[in-house]
Amino acid sequence: MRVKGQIAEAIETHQVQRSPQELKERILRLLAMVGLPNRVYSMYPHELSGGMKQRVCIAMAIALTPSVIIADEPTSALDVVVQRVVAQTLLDVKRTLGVSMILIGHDMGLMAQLVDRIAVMYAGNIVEIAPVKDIFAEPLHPYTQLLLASIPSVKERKPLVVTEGLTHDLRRPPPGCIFQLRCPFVMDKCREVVPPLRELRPNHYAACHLY
Amino acid sequence: MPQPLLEIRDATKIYRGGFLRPGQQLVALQNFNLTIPEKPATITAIAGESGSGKTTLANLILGFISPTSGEILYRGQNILTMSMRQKLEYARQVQAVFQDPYAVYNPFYRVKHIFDLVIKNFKLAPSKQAARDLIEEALKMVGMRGEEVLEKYPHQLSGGQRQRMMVARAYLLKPRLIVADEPVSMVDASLRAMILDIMLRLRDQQNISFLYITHDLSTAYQVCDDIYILYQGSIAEKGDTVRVIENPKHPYVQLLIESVPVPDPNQKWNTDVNLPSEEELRSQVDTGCRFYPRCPYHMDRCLVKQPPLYEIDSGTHRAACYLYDQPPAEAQSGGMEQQEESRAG
Repeated sequence: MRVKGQIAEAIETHQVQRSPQELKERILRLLAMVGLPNRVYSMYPHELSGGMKQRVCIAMAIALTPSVIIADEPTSALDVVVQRVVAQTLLDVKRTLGVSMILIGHDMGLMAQLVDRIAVMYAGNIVEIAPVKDIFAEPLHPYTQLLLASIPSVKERKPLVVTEGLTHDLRRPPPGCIFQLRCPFVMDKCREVVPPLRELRPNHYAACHLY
Repeated sequence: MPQPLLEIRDATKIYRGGFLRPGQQLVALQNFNLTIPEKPATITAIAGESGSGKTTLANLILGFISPTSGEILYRGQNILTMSMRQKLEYARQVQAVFQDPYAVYNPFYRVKHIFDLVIKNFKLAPSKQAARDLIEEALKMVGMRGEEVLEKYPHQLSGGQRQRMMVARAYLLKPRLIVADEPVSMVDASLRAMILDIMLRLRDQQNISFLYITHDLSTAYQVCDDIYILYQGSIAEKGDTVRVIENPKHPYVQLLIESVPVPDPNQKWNTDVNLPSEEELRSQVDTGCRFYPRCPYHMDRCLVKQPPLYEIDSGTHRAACYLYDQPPAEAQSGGMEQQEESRAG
């Protein structure tokens, strides 16, 4: 199915279109909004590069002027330069349409560039929530600290921080804190009581018995 | 000069047919040269965007496809003219780890199957016990224990564990070279260091060289000795990893490094980046520098002929850009202004 068909399908499922001409103009406007040229309208997906395909997906997502967009790893398959363009597109969309976004990902570098607030998750639990600057300046939860320490940089070469992955069977989580098997600061209390997510600094929440 | 482990001479790969319209062709790789020394063991990065030719390169080295022109020599022997026995030996000495730790396993078999197959095909062990010992040793190298994982099915292990097992499988054959095609890009960020650490250990303790193919410059910077950066089928820049990344010369490489998101909310990306609306299919081999449409420094001569790799320093650092069409001493300091001056004078 050509790009025009994919986007049209998304629109027509929810809204009755007055005329094919109007639908076409609307699609062309959407493509322009994500920085794609008109000829993409008639192209097939396999003719597009990864970054272009992703931008078509963004166009589909904004077609019905949503109030929230959930972006699940939108740039994982893309290289760094294209990632930047797609990220920029998301920011532009947020600004011009006033759409809120939930960006799901594991690239802390990208998060630092794009988001206002971060919720860190581990094994199905939210362990920390804070404005992006605070998470980077003062990560409170040991898992967040681990995550930040393991970001490789292109500024300086340093020894790798090697960490063990998920160490428990997800079907049988340990009693108490979900992170106890990997935590360098684990205490007895952690093995018995689930730490609640509490506001430890203004607007900064963490679930940890250390505090 | 001692014979290199792997030498690629002027390799070119042009694709025709398939989804391409009749008469159209895709130059995936063009006049590519690379040398991996016999010793010491090294980790060489091949970095580039999707479409840069890096997977084509991996497939050429692994013998899955043959070059349109040029040669690939393993220890002096052209892999295209190897006998069946030499090919088997080559398959043993040059192993691979692929990007997708989900796709490479047959979901119907327990994971030990991947080791059993290898041991059987290469006749690595005379008995079940000997085979088991070999497997345990390989697993130990990647920080795993047989009793914990061998009887499991692929879906019962994490992506990181599956990838580590693939490295163990490659290691089982005691190869000289492992071609790792994006080995960590589908593995969770916090687990990547573990696999990279294994690569470093295999290099240092087992003398195994790696070709680390990636689009992620940060991990390449952390573990690789040398780096080749590809752009649309040609080498844009190459040399010692630290030198290239800390002091990039090719405008494309400068753009790439500048685009790596800095994990600091106080240092946001500065300027907006423009991609041309489409990466045009490259149909001819010599149409000048492919980076021209995006290059802030492009000159007329860039359209005429693809620039050769110029020397940047007295070492191995080279960049394929006419900006450096001068002896290293002059090209190094000042960059742009100095070259404009000397060209005008």
